[in-house]
Amino acid sequence: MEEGIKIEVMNIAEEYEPGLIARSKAGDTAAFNQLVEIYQSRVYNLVLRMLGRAEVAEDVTQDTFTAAYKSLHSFRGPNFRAWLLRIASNACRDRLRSQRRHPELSLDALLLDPGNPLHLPDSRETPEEYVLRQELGRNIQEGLASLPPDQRLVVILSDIQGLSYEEIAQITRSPLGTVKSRLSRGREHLARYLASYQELFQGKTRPHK
Amino acid sequence: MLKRWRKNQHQRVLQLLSEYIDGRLSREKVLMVEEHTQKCASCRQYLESLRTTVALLHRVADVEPPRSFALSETEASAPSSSLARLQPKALRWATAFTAFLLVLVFAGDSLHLFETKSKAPQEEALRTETGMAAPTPQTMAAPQERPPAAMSEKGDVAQGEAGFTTPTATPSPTATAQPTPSAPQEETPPSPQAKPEARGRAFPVRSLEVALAALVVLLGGAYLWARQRS
Repeated sequence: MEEGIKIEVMNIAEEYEPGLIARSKAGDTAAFNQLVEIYQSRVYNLVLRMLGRAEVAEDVTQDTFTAAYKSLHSFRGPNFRAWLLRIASNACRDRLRSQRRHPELSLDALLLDPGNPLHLPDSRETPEEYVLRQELGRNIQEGLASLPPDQRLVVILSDIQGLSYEEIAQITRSPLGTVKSRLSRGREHLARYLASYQELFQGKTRPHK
Repeated sequence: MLKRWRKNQHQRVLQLLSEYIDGRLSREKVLMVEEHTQKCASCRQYLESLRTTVALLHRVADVEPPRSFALSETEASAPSSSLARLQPKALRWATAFTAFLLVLVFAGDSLHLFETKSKAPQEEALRTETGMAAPTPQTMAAPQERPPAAMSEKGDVAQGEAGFTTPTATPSPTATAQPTPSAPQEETPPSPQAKPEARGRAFPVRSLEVALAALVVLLGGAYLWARQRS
C-alpha cells in the first residue's frame, strides 16, 4: 500500500519535472529547490553510502545541488535523476581522491560513524533484534567500504536504490556489460565479506527454497 | 574433455548468477543455470549467499537527510563548485600547453630556425598564441622577467655583431673590469627602447623563452596551489 503511494508521488514528480527544470534553467531558484526536495534524500543516501561519513556526505550533497544548478544549462534530458546522480557520483569520486591525497582525513572515513547508523528498519523489534540490526548495518557498511569505488557505486545504485542496469549505465557512462560485471564482482565480494557474519542473518532473511 | 567442458560451464554459470537473480537472463541461459545448479553444490551455495546478500541490501532503508539542501539565493549566485573543480584542470592544461610552447620555441631557437628573415612573423604568431593560452595577469609577469633577459640578449647581440662565438664569457670579465659594478645595470634601462631595433635578431626569441618559462612556473605554481586548496 505504502509502496503504491510512493510510486504515485514519484509519477506526479516526474510529470512536473520538465516544467521545474525549464523554470530552473531560467534562473528560478524556487523551482530548482522543488527538484532538490524531490531528490535530496536519494542523493544524500547515495553519497552517504559511498563516503560513509554523515558530515562529509552533507557537504558533498550540497556541492552536488549547487553544481547541478550551475550546470543545468548543459542538461539535455530526458533523465534528470540519472544526470543528477552522475554529478553526485563524480563529486564522491573527487572526494575519495582528495581523501587519498590526505589520508589523515580519511582515517576510518568509510566506516560508519556512530551517530549515523545504517538503518535496516523493522517495526516491533525486540532489543536483541535491534542489536542484531545495528551490527548487521555496520557490517554491510564495512563490506561496502571494502569494495573498490566503481563496484561500490554500482552495488548501491542497483541493490540499495533499486535502479535498473540501463539507468546505472547512464549514470556511470559505462557500457551495460561493465555495469553487469561490476555488480557481479561487487556482490561476490560482499557475499564473501558477509559470509563470516552469516549466523547473524541466517533464518531472518533467507529466501524461501 | 568432458571434465574441461564442465569446468567451463561452471565458470560461465558463476558469472551469470548475479544476472540470474535479477531475472535478466534469456530463457536459454536460465535453463543452463538451473540445470547446472541442480548438479553443482558449490554453485548452489554461492547462489544462496548471493541471494542473501542482495536481500540484505534491499532491506537497507534510506537515512533521513539531516537538513534541507535547498539553495539559498546567495548559494544560487555563488561561484559554482564544479567551476572551482575545473580550475585546477584548466591550470594544468594551460601549464602543459605553455611548457609545450616553450619546448617548441627552445627547440626552434637551438636549431637556429628563428635566425632567418621570416622570423619576426613567427614570433608574432607565437606571441599571440601565448596571449591566448594565458590571460592578462601572466603577460603582466613577463616584463618583470625581461630586464635580466634583455641584458644577456644585448650581450649576445653585441657579441654576435663582433663575430664571437662564446657570448656569455665576455660580459662577466667586463663587469669585473668595470670599477663600478652598477655599470651593467645602467645598460638595462635602454633595453626597451632597443627592442624595436633588435627585433630582427635573436632578442625577442630569447625574451619569449624567458616569458614562457616564467609563465610555466606561474601557471604550475597556481595549479599546485589550487590543487592543494581543493
